[in-house]
Amino acid sequence: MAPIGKLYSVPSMNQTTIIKATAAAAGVEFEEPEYKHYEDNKKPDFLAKFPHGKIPALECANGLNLTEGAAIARYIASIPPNSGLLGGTLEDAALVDQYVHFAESEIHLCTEFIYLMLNGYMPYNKAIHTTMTERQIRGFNSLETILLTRTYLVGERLTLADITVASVIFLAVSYTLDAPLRAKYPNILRHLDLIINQPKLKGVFGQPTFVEKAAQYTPPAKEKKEKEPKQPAPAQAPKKEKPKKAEEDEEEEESLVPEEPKAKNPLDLLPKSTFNLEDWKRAYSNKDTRGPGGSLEWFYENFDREGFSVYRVDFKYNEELTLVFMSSNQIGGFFNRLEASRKYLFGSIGVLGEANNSIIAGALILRGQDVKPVVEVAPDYESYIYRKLDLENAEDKAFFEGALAWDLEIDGKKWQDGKNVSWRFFF
Amino acid sequence: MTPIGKLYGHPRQPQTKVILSAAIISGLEIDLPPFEFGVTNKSPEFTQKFPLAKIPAFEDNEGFKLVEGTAIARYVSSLVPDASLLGRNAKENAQIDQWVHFAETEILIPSNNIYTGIVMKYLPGFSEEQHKHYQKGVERSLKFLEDYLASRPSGLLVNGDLTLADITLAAAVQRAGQTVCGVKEREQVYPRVFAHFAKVINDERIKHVFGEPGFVDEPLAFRDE
Repeated sequence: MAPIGKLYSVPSMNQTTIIKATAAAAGVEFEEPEYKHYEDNKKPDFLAKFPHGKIPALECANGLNLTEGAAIARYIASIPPNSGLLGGTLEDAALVDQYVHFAESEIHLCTEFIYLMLNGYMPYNKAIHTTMTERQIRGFNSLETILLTRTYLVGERLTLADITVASVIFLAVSYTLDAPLRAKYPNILRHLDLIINQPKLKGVFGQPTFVEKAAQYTPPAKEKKEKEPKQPAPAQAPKKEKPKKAEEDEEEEESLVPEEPKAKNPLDLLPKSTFNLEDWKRAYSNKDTRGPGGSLEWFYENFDREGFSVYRVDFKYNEELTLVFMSSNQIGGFFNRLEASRKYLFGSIGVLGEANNSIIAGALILRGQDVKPVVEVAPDYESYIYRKLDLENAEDKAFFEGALAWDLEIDGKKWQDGKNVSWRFFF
Repeated sequence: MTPIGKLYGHPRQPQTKVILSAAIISGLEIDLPPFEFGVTNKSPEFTQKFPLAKIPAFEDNEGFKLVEGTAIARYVSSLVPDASLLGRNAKENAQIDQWVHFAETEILIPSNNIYTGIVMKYLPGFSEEQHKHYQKGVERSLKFLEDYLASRPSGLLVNGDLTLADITLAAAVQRAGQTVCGVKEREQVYPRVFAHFAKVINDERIKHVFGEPGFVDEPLAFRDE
């Protein structure tokens, strides 16, 4: 079948996974043009088609321009006459709708909200964190009950309901649905396993990462600098908390979060550094990368080469790589497995080249001078080669900047699809 | 006419209004049994049928059960294709989906969070920053909508007739008018958005479902208490 159109999105979004899985299950193809969020969605030709400026956005060959992830997935599912993805009867179609909506509002909304707060995109608030956690658990409980007596959610075959639920659970198990909780939901896990391993969907999801303990709030470091002047920002821009409020939250956290029994990470014992990784991540996500006032400029002004180092990373087995989005998922999986080192690591790694002729490469900014203690938390860290970069060296510097600006080119292979450690769930 | 089933919901809940309107436009009847929040949805009869115990919840005469407001609204709208609530072809269908989802996520949810936080005072952790964040989101979306409606000769979202998208948007915009949009905003900043609202709720068939708009004169302000 000819591609039905072009999808503008970023791989890390939950909606993108659902759309891709739906397309794979339906046997529908679409193109994924190069897209850089915060840049391309401000350009006149994009806004002419999609005035609201949000992604995912689908530009169809038949003239339809569609937004809202759920609507796009549904439209794709409806294209082939017998895909069965939307159920066979009006009642089954309604049930598919019901589960899609349930997955979004009762489960994914909570994961996303918690993520936004824990990563500084919205002011952290313990009461909201608790409310969202409880709401999500209520959703998990219901889902477990439903799946007690069902293999697939609607009828006896794969539908958009299964794809959507599996997708939000796939994310949740890496973030909020931790080991003690998962022990209560064998049927949710069974369903997840069934769906992500469907032959047609192989390669869309990759391997799930199972978090041991649900993500917790880390108050910002006390040696944080003066508030930066407010920047014109997109809706998801982080807001710095008022200093007083941050202190109150910190006090609460110390008394409520139990002491971790295991030994302190040696990376925490390094001498204090003036370079704050969280500030860097915010600068990187708020500013353009290159140019005056950009994040690279900020980086060179603030970087502490004693306390931190910059590395190049290359995948060892590039000849195995096939489709670009599958390689992109592999990077995502690698980042998921690096979760425990999130405090010590920033990465910008991408797929360069094209299907069956690509490489995975990128740059890391990490705490300390040695890469191993930071990345060995990931069981597959030895699948990559690490080489320390010297930013005084012109070639190394160009590589580093290209990896962060997503315009890196190696041996004629151009950057296609990338992931940043701090942006796993959305743009 | 026999009602098609029972809808457990509250007449002032936006999702319930949308479902009832969809039924009426389709020429269908739905029973709305008396519902007491905190009582009915905690009773064993209810929770056995609807384990998540949220409203709206729908059960037809054959025992078919459905939850999630937009899913129920869509199902009801699908029962009478001639009513064209879901559009006349695949493209219109997709566009209706798009607007329903947009109305819910970009307008109803943030407006409702402000409503629940300030008016109902029932949103733990609701803060001034949250308020500003939601308000900003709603304003961005209303501006986009205002510009889009300028291109619509019928003043409706998808084609020349009332669809599920228009009804859903009206319910969402009603909440915006109760929280984020005062007189000045409704008349001067988003006149087309509120003209669309008026067009929908003045439809004789569903006027009584939407009731009094309950709009504010000034946008609600956050007050630390």
